[in-house]
Order: sequence, then structure tokens, then C-alpha cells
Amino acid sequence: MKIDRETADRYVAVHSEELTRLCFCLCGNVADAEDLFQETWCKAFKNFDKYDVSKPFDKWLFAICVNTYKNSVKHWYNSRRFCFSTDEEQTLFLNSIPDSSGYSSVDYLELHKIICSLPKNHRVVIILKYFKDYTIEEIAQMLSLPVGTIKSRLYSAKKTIRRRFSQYEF
Amino acid sequence: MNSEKRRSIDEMLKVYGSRKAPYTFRFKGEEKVMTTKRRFRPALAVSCIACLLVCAVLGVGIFAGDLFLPSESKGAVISVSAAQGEDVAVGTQRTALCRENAPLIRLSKAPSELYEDGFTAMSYSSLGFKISGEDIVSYDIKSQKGTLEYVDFKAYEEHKVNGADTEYLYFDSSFENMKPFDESDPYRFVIGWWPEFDRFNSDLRDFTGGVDRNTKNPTEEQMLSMGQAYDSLLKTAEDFTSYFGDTVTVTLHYSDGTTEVLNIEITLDENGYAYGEYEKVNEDVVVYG
Repeated sequence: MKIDRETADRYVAVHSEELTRLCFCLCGNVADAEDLFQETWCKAFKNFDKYDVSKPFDKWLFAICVNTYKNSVKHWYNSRRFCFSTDEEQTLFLNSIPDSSGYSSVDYLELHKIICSLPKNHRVVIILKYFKDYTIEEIAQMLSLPVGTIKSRLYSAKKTIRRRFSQYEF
Repeated sequence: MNSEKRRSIDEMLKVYGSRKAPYTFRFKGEEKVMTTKRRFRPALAVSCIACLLVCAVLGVGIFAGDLFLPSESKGAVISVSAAQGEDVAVGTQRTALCRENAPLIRLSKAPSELYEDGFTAMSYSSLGFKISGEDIVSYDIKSQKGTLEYVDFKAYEEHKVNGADTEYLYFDSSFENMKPFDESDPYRFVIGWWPEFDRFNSDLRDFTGGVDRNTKNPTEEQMLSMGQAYDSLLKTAEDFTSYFGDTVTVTLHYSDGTTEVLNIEITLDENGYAYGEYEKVNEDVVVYG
């Protein structure tokens, strides 16, 4: 099933904002996030015939996004940075944290650095979990992994974050 | 960690995950995406300047006399890249090649790393070799134990930009008659290196009674057993180099007809970090037909 222009535009209009957010969460900087965004849409439209229309499009799209990201950081020739590449990006990040969160934006900056330093598989799971509050089962389905694996990764990731955040606080 | 702190980290993660992106990207259409090229453009300029500087330094060094120690290569610049790392120049001194993002992972500390596509006993990124030099006409490269990959940048960029099915990776234990690396060449390529995993996995299989890294859908008990077995193996072996270490032999062909053979030794420390150093094996005069 080849996707027509009008349908493609409609999907782009509906899902671009969320996809941008996911790309930012995964990459941590604008340049890589935009690359990932473009590649994800390209792959989604190229493989549209594999999309099962009875299932939510966003999860299928996000699964492509995550897999593209994971493949891209696998090889040395895609040397990428996870944290901000300019001060402006860091300021944008700090401004994106709501004032009512109870923690200072500097705390969130530290959290961001800790998440960036997590192993790739842990980082992806923790981002998917808190990006849209997906359940363990939904994440497992998106990543084509057993539920036990996701639980284990989530547990390890949170444990690492807590430990490192404690070191930062004290 | 008390429950209040645990809750607060959870809340922070929720805020972190739900924050809005500073702006929304616009999809540029499949035919207009030029992501890699765009990113490479500024890097290209910097690399060209860096190459010119390196050439200038080499030129001055040769002109001034014997700048290099006798055991060093007379003109080759060999650098190695690891995933998420920067290029590291390999010399005759032991040099760390991998930064913190590319070590082997001890499984009992990270049991969740056990499998992704079946069991995966370790996470390891490939290393990329960029071999260049003013007077180098070509070079041959061979790995004794590992696998070399030939990465065709042009095909890779086409694949990334428009999803072309062009092959951009070729695997072999050796490649011959390679052109020196030139960042400005659109048809450039780089040679990557992967360690050999078979012996490690064979030993691992013995430890785990037949459950190996290719086992699909392992139970949680198998996962735990695998992690413990892996760590036992590490404790027994305590030497990553014996499993994954390698010698990559590079034969450099110079414009004056001479050749130079360098053995690049790749070793790993107790944490799985890779190191590289080269040793000049010989230098022969070769008359080209």
C-alpha cells in the first residue's frame, strides 16, 4: 500500500510535534534530533505498506524512530553527542522545564546529563516510559522485546539514576 | 534511598519526559532530506584545515631532518574512531581508543544488557581506521583474528538520505590496494574493525550448559545464570585481550616505491577499554612494474 501525498501530510501534521519531542529526548541535541526526525518520516513512508492500520500509528512511528536511533549510534562512523552542542540549546532545555515542578532547572540539567550517560538500551526504555507514560507491555511491544527485559532495564536505569543523582546532591 | 527521594526522582522523570520540545521540526519531504551531508559540511571544512596543518607539520619535520624516532612510521597518520568518540591518533605508545561509551559491559552489573536479538553477551562498538599520509599511494590491511568492514561513505549517505538499497558495508578479513583516507573525497571510505567473538561465546556456552547468546526468549533464570556465568568467565579469564585482542597489519605503499609494514596491536584492559599501538615490522624497497 503506497501512501498518497494527502494522507502523508495528514500524518505529518498530527504526529510531528510528538515525534519532535521523542527525537529531542533520545538525541539530546537539535542537530541529531532533526536528522532522526527526517529519517524516521522517510522510513515510515517508505515502509508504509508494513503498517497495520488497525493499530495506533504513533506507536509504529515511534518504534521506527527508536530503532533508527539505536542503529545510528551503533557504529563509530556516526559519532554523535548526546548533550547540547550550544549554550542556546541548553537554555532552551532549561526554559522547557515548568516552574511548578518543585526542582530547579539546574537539577533537571543534572538529570538530563545522567540520562544521557546511561547505556543506550536503558536510556531508550526510560525515555519511552516517561515520554508518554507508556506501560511496560506497550514498550515491550514497540521494541519487540519480552516484558521481563523491559522491567529489568527500567529497574536498572532508575537505580543508576537514583545513585548518580544522590552523588550529585551530596 | 528513602521513599520520599524515590518518589521525587519519579516525579522529576515525569516532568523531564513530558516537557515540550522547544519547537517542532518540519518534515522536508523525502527528496529534500540531506541530513548527513548538511552535518558533514562544517566538519569537512575543519577537517580540511586540520589535514593541511598535519601535512605542513609532516613536511617541515621531514625537511628539518629525522624528526621521528626510527621505529615510527615515516609518514602515515593512523587514527581510530570509536562510537560517540573522537578520532584518536595511534602511535608507537599505547593509546586509549575507546572512551567511556564503548567498553564491554559486565553483565551482573547490567543484566538487562543480556539480550536484544537473542542473547548478547557484550556490547561493543566497532573501531574505524582512517589511514592517510602525504606520500602514501595505497595500503593493504589485514586483521589476524577479527573482522574488517569497508564503509563506503557515498553509498552510506545515499542510504541515509533517500533510503537507497545500495550496499555500503563489506566484510572481510583483509582489503588490498586501498586509497589513503581523504576527508574531502566524496567517494572516501573507512575501514572498521570488529573483534572476534566466537571463542568467547564457545567458552560461555560451556559455562552455561548450552545457553548461549543466540538463545531466543530465555527465561529469567537463564538470564541470571547467563549473567553469573559471564562474570565467572571474566574472573577466570581476567584478560579481555586473550579473547578480543587482535593484530591489524597495515602495509603502506609509498610513492617512492618503498613499503612499510606496521602491526597495530589492539589490546583491552581489565575494564574492557581498547588500546592501540603500532610497531614497525620492516621496510622494503619494492619496484613497481
